[in-house]
Amino acid sequence: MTGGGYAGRMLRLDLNELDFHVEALNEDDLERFIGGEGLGIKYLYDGVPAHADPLGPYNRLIFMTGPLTGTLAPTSGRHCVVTKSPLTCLETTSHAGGYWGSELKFAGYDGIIVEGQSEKPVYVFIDDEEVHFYKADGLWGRDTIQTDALIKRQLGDDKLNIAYIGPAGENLVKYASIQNDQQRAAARGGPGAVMGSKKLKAIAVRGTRDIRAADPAKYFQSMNELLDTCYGHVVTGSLFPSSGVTGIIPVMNEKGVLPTKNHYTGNFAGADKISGQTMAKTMLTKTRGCFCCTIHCTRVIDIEYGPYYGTRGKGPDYDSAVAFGSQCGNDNLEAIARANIVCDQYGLDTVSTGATIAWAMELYERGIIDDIDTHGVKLNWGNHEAMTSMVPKIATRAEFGAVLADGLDEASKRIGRGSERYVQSVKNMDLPGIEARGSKGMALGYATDNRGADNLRPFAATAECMGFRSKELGMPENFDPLSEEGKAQWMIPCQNYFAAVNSLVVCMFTVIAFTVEPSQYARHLSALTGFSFEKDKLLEAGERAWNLQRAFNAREGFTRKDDRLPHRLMEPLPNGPDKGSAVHLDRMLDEYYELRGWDKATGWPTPEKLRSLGLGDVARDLEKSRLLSGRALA
Amino acid sequence: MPRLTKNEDACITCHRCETICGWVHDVVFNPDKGRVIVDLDYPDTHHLRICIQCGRCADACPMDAIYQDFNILTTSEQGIYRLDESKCTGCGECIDACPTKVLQFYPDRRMPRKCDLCLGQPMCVRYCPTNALGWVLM
Repeated sequence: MTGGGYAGRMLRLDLNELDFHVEALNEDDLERFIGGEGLGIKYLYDGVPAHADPLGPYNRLIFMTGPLTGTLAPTSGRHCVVTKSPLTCLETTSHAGGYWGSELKFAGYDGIIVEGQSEKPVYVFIDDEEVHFYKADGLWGRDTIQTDALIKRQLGDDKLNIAYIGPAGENLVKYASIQNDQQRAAARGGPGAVMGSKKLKAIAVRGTRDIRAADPAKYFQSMNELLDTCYGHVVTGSLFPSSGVTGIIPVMNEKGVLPTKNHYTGNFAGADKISGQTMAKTMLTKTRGCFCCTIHCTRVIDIEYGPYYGTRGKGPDYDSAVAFGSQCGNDNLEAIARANIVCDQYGLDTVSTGATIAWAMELYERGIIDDIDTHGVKLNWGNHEAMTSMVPKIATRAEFGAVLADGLDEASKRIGRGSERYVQSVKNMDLPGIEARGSKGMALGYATDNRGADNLRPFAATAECMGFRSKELGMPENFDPLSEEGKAQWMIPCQNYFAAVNSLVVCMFTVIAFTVEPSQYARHLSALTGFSFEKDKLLEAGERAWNLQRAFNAREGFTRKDDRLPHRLMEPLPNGPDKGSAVHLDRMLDEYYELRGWDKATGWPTPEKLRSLGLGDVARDLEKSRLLSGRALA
Repeated sequence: MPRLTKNEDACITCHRCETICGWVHDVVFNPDKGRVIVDLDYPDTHHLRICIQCGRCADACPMDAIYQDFNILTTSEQGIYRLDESKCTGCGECIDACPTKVLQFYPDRRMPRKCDLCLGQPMCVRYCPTNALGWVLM
């Protein structure tokens, strides 16, 4: 095994037989894919056959950690979940913070691959070397907070870290999340539904083993440098610690990129009321960090007034506050906090849930659906009681929630009546918290991201609207957020870098304002693992992961026509600072495919590109499926 | 009495103190080898367990394996209580005597993890992001 960083072993859980086995990691793969998202997509590509049912026995649920997980690097407490999404039918990689990922590493595993399907509900307890399967009949149907307490009581250990699904995952809601440490969620793309389809309620982990560094002296020095960099930057050193991620809401509103009323416009009158600054004044009790985090953006809240009295727990982050706040026309921060906590309890993706309710609200306001459809729930803009009451209904598929629980595509098909015109999604993944008409780089990011609309890979709005620049990724000094020109040139290195950072599995917040530059992470990774990484090699690993994700999607039959934005983003913004701006996607896309080395007609990676990244076998696979699809078309 | 201090309100439960402790003493990443312990109780409470250098472990030890080291901090009349691992038999009397329950065995061997204030430069204090840990010399 290599010098350090990795635990060196993968755990395979076979739920058909309720058995497990442990296998060693391949050292070549580690150097090529690093870990986390990169290695996860490799396992997914190799293990899941094309066109497999996401909720069937052939899909795999892959929990991955990276080399930096569990180490002293800032924000090293994360893990990622790689699977084929039931929402988009594409690959999805959702990341979660907390302590579960690092605990898994300390138990001696770099990741878990869950295969097959159990007949009865089970949960798994990983205690270092030992893996136990337990019956979960009594836990099935319980919410995440009860599940956490019950498993801790049953196993008699308060220090357990547990990842579990709530009722939403059991009911196969297509945007169900996998929660861990009570209120941390790997949510986007609905991995919770995959876990629910496998009848796996929870994975409890307790780990007490060591992780080592290859070169301790060098590692300690570069770790100190990383800490200094993070403490010294305005975003990671003062804005996020003091106001949380929702502290950027006023800035985003000022720049006209705060999506409002189902992406109708980009500025919201009540933005200040839902911001992190207001939260700090009214309900904040303390802040929390994930494992070894220096940013501690997690807000802990306790509401001691008003109709939502008694709401305690984790406060909403940026995307949740936007989804339940400005997107629903709601400026009641207490309602946002309650909806966020109820989502965590039932195990739902807050972004998709909020966006779906916002879509239903627009339909209701336009008269496309009425009280009979919604079973009497008055979904007017800003009706926060209706909004919070919809969350449990979606999770349990009750009343109108049954329609909304299958994602926007299915719901608009079931409702009909022209409702699909108001769907705001890319590849059936709901748009998250940036209005792309005010930030064209973000529009390109939404359209081309492999898992559907995604504002974290990369978070282009910090570059375009807040003025942060990376020195090493070839970003021009001045560029206009409203112009389409030259966006692909810097978005591609950014996407590669973000994919690489996701493979290290550290928090995006260390890079969204380009706090840590690629060469610094490369240096750090070299000292930790003993591989020699440089900036270019790190970015190439990111590019390899990105292309492999793309190839996975291509094998599923997705092409350039799926890299599109909803109609609304092509229409001019009706008001606000960026009034009249609309996205002209095709201009950007042509440039993007060309610079990526992809086929402009299909949007697939070319065989030459794949071979240059050392993915020759993938190129052969794609050639085969191209022939197959060609024959089907003929 | 030189000892650690804590401010639980400032603590963000990141476990960095535990991890850096394991790193400086054993050069591994393992929070279960920390001589500081952070207990989490969801949703919003937590406790810090720290060594207050009270010396009750030394009183309880039948082998006199825990001794005062006066060479580390000279401004105090009292030294730092340290563990001489060669004398320790792993009987666990010190662990029963510890009033803050911070003294625990290593996860992989029967040997208590005794805080030694990092020989005069407590790293948990130095690396705490929010200054929830501190130390006093008097």
